Amino acid sequence: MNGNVNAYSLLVQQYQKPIFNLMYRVTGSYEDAKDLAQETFIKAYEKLDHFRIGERFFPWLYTIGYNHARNFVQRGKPLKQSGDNDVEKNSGLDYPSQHEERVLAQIDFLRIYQALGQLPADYREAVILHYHEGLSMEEIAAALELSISGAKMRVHRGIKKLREVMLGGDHETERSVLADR
Amino acid sequence: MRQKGPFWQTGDSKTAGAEDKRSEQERRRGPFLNDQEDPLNDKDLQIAQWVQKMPDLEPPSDLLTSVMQSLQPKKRSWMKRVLLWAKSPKSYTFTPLRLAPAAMVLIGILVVSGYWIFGQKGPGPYPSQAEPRIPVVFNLNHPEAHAVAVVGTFNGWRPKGYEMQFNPEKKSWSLTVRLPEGRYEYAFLVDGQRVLPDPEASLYQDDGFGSESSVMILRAKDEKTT
Repeated sequence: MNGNVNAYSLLVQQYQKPIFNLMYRVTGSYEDAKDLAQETFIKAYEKLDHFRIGERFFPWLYTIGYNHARNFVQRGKPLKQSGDNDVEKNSGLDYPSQHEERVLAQIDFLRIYQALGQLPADYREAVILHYHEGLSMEEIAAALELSISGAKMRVHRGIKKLREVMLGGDHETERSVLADR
Repeated sequence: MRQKGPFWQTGDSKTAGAEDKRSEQERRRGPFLNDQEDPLNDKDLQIAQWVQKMPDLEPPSDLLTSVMQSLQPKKRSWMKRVLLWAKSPKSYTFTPLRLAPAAMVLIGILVVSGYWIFGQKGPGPYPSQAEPRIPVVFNLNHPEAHAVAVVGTFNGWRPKGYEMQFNPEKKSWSLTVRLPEGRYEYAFLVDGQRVLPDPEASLYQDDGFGSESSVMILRAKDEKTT
């Protein structure tokens, strides 16, 4: 594709969803997530010369996006807690207008979304990259700028921490998890 | 593109015997290879499954457009630039003797640029209208897809106007495109997001971003079905 702007639009189409979701997890704001996602793709385009041919594009893009998101947080803009009940309209989680069955499923996922929001960012992203995006440990290590053993540790401990957040002292939730099995 | 799926779903859970036992142990031990670390229990695995199935938020529909517009800053069209130039007042002072070398340089530039514009025949990114065209039938067997388009060097990797039609009997998507002879890279854009190389292609090329494009070479005699 070699720098062709139209070819780049295919990459944007392919990865806009995970990058936008990363930004939403970090900021909790639909508008900020959109701006950060857009800036990430522009930065990546400007840095395409640094991309090593033959590697997977997504971990490289994710590194740029994750660092950009961290800089945004460090600039000190107050963050909304992602997974709050005051979910923004058009965010996909403004479910009250949707069908009842879908609403119940959304509530389950909203619970895990809220729990993920309580994990330290590095653990949360490692868990999501492995279990949700299907990245290998090598790719997670590259995306989060960790060693491979560091990536393994983040994923493993991340899932343990997630269980603690979701089930810690909440017997009703625990029962529902076991009932699902 | 690689199939999405966490490590604990890659094995066949119905396989009996020792291999099954080993995979169960590996599944519970999770990605952490240090034996001192707690293995994943049933609840951990259930939570991992929830994370896997967790729905994503849809990105704003104008995100792609915003990105692409930022990459292609608007430039004044050449007509506007010429108009602006023509409208602005200018004054020139010259003698005929000074004009002669300038006129010769101008003629030289016109001759050279005329040669470059009209005298060279290259493949170019887009097919020329004058060349004879060969019908190419693109096929993709992907009944789960909701929309498929073919993109490649012949259309500047833009899906618009190259949407494939689904044939419910054959359960496949197809599109016929008439192209002049040449070498083309192409791929299928599934549901506007996933880029798949043609599984039936005889040649593939690394697209430089960790995926592959299919390659097709068309000759005048061919009538190609991918």
